[in-house]
Amino acid sequence: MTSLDRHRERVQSLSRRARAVVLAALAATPLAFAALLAWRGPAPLLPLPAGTAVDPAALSTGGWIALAALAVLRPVVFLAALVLLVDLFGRYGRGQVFATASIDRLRHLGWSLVGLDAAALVQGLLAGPLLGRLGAAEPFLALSIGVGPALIGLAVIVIARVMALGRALEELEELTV
Amino acid sequence: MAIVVNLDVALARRKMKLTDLAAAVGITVQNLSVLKSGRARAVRFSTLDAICRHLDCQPGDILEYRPDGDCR
Repeated sequence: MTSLDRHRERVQSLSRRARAVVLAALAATPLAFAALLAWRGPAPLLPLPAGTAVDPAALSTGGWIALAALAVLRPVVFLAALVLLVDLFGRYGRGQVFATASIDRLRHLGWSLVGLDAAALVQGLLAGPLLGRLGAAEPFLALSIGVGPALIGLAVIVIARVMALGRALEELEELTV
Repeated sequence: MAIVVNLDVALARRKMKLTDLAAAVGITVQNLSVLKSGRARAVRFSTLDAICRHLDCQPGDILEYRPDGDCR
């Protein structure tokens, strides 16, 4: 077995294990968010300023649904990222490391991570006016600026470019007799 | 590319099949076909060495440089 074969096998083995872990997270995450939503309502899922008092009794059914829709924005983006990760690890597990589709998944994963912080920003901007309009809290404007997932997402997008270079090198290797 | 591969001519002269050469050289028929058809981007010296040894020829018998781009 050549060094290249050993690396390929290691990537496939690790990817299969990582995929199993992410699949478990993908299964558990919606349940956790649904439980939190049912138990504590949408407020804990929103980036509210400290000390903001939300009166759940003031929420009508329509108001609760609107608030819940805003609250699940970030979890939905997170789930999308997990789905992309499951697909990506699945492709790596099948040996499709430098395939075009794998590189596309990696790039989309990067953008979904950027989307996580963007979703938090949107939630923060809309939560105050919405709660105020629904009469559940005093109107406020919150600016939720986070860069953690976004920075990682940008790094992943750059890595996707590196993988595209890897694909070009692999093609050269395949056409080397 | 201006490098022309004349492997098919060399095989015909020696009345050897591509599959036989592939087995003798130790590379797959597909890879050797890539070389024969001119689609290869690079050739390892080890491959060239094995081909020349089994065909009893020089690299120039297999590889030709045509600078005007008149490739087969």
